[in-house]
Amino acid sequence: MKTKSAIFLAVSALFLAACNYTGPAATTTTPPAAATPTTTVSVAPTTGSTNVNDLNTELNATVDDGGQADLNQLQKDAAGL
Amino acid sequence: MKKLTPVLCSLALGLLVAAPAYALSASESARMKREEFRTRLSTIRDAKKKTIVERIDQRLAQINASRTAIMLRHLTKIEEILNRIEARTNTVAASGKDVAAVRTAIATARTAITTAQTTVNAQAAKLYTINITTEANLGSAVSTARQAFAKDLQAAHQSVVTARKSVRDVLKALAKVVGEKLTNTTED
Repeated sequence: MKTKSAIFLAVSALFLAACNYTGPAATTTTPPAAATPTTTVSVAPTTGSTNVNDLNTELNATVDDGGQADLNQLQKDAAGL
Repeated sequence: MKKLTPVLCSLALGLLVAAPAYALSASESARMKREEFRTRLSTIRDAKKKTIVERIDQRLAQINASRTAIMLRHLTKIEEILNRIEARTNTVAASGKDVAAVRTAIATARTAITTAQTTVNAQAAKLYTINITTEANLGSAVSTARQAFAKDLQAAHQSVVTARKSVRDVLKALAKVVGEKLTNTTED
């Protein structure tokens, strides 16, 4: 009887352990350094740069038509009145 | 001075009470205008014209919201660029170079950015209502609203252009001090 209880307990323990198993510990699954995605090197100005030409390029990027295209379309839309 | 204190307190209290009341009446006035617009729009018999007016009314609000949001985003970026120029200026000053002209330009640019932010925020809060009188005058009513909106939006955009130009002036001044050539300059 004692043996049966012991087997039952052991099987239960194994079953519970299997249910809680989430795979190997995180430290063992860390990919090697070589597999880490590398930062793409771009010719675009680096954000945070204090180089005058980089800053000038960033300043140029804020130039737009101020909504002129939308206003022109609005005028076209009103043509049917 | 003691006699003046109660008078000044009353004035301040009066302003505190009157300001929200004024704001309320302004929003109330806008609400009434919208209601009037809706009522008059419902009287238009030509379905095609009615659709056009409705669409333009919606587009006025949409364009105003989207364009002012873009302008504010650009101003934030322009201000961030100015901050970096100032950081570089501080570094250059630490090396013993004369950056007085750059600092003066920075102050001017900061004022221009603040002015533009105020102008664009005021523009974002504006409402445009087409003043419908008769069906025959629909074209001119829409044209009046559209032209008023275009004028205001262009003025707001111009304030952003001025702010950007003032920051570019700072950049030019800094480039001169550090002896670097500024390339790819797109003037507005």
